[in-house]
Amino acid sequence: MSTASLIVHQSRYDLRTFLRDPRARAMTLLVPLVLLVFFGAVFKNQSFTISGTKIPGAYYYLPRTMVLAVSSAALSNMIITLVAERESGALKRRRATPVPPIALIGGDITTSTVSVITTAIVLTVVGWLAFGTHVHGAGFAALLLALVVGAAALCSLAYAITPFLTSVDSAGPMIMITTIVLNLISGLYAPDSIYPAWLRDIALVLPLRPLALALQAAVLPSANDDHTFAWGYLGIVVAWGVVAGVVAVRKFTWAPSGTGG
Amino acid sequence: MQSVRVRKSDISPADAADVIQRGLGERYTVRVDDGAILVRKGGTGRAKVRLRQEAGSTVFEVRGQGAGFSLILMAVNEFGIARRVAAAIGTSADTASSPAASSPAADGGTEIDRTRASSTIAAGPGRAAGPDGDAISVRGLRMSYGSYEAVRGIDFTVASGEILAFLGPNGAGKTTTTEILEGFRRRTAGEVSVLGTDPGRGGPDWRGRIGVVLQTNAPERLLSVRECLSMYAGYYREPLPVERVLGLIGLTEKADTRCDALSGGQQRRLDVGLALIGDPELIFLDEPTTGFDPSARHMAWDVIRGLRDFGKTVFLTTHFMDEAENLADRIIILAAGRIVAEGTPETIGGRQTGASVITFTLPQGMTGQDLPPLPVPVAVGHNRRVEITAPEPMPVLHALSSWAVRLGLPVSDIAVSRPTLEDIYLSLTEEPT
Repeated sequence: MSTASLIVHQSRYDLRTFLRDPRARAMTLLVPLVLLVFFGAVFKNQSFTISGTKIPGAYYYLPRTMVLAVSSAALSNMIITLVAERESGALKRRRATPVPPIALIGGDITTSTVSVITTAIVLTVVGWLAFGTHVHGAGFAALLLALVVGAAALCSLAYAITPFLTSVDSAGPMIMITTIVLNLISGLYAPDSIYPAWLRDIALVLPLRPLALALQAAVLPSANDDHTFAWGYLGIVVAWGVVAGVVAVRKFTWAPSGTGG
Repeated sequence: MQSVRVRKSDISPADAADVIQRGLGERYTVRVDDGAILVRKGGTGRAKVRLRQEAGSTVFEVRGQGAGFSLILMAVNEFGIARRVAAAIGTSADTASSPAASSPAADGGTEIDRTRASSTIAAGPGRAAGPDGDAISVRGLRMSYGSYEAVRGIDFTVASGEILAFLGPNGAGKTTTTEILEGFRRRTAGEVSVLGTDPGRGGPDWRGRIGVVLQTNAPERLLSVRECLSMYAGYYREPLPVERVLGLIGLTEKADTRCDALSGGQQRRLDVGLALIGDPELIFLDEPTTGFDPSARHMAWDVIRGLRDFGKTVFLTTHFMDEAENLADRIIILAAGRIVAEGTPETIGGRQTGASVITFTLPQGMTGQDLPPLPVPVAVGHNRRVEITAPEPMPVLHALSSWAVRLGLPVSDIAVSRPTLEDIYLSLTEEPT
């Protein structure tokens, strides 16, 4: 069986697992949707000025709730799932089979990407119906590219972080607090136009704000000098994925922590 | 229904029943009734085998019911008829299942693995081997964690088709050794060959030839049992049919149940099923029956014995002495990183030559002084309980029985016990206090 068909095989079951997990469904689909409806309604008639460009409230929150979905599916949920599967021995048991690691990782990336794209479609439709946000032409391709790149990079980051977490009990609260802080400073909740410049600069070298700006460009090219594809921001996200990938290759373990003896 | 086709006509039910009975052993009852062969296994299940002549072949049709049916089915189909009858008459056999299902283990119309059934029969036990004929070969294995040496130079082999029980207290180095053999852990020193390959360099092809049951249940909790088996089946080039494995592990009726709704014993059986789905040659079972109730343990033991009949090699680690005694062809006891004993369950640690212990209660009003002269020391304890340790028990028993019969004494609770495997194990592994 080729690696590609193994990834497809694995993705079928990973996706099924994802869809049956109420926590994953809520965090990936429901929370971004609720936040889009809430922020969209609250800031319906307001605009935020970022880098000299006025961005209507709904256009600000549409891409950022998509980032929330990516962050939830590919990072926080992925970390919790990986730690749980590693500690229960499920990962070790899979590694005892002929399946190559790339197929297992590929399955995770595919599952995250599919769920994120599904959420993005729902958000786009709700944004259009409820708040009149329009995504035009190449914007869809740019959205798709940014979502795929974002999901893959954050999955890679999840694999890099997991080795440093030894139990689900400790991983849960730590991941929750870290993601809330990361989401906050990346401007996913409050508009980052109100943040001091230094905080925006810090957020720009973290993975979520560049992803938000890449998605922002896809939704509203005028926010990126009329360029739909924000290659610079995507580059930062890719860099995170690559660095995390190197750490993951060196540190990731399939066996439960503390085994042996 | 499942069927086995043997390429020879006119095999009589009586002849086939005879072969099946010899093949299955005393745990199964086999008899011929109205032209059919009835197979029973205790109270757990029964199967009826009918013979049908068809174009130069005899087709054995197997139907059954009961929780133990899948085991009978496995035994009758795979071992009883397919291997033994076909081998006895020097031909080959095909196994198939029919959609005319009358049993919970029926396959739903999927044809079972004709080629592999034949090749298993042709090769028989012993196909799982490295170049030297052993499934596992270990020489001078050492493993250190910093300054602590967990495994201190051990040597052993496991023959193909053998069940080896690997025993030892916690911290003896069992898990480390097992993980090195499974390819999960790199060793510090020594030579290790598993199915002819260094497990440290074992690739996907090698991993496709081993099966692993880990110490803890690791369910894919949101998938059903069938989905879970199907997912794992997809990892292998030539997996066993999912429905057949469901039958082997007795979870056909739970096939659509989600793994997180299974009982602990059922999850463990699923673990075994996941290790079997790739049709491995060598299976590592790490404490496979921990948490089982007695009935589930005995069913699991039957499955493990069945693996040996399949020609599989089994590397079993367990803390249950009765499990090792019932299943293992050979036992290795590890303590503090070294092998302290190796042998069959009957002979390990000099068990066969160990002293017997004779115990009984003296009749009311008697003391140790009233006993006849004996060639060994006698200990009389609380409540007139006598305990005699005798390297040669017969002369002592002879003297005691003559004495009791002569005086007409009621000594009804006399018992003679040999050292148990647990006695041997404890004597070899107990740390000095």
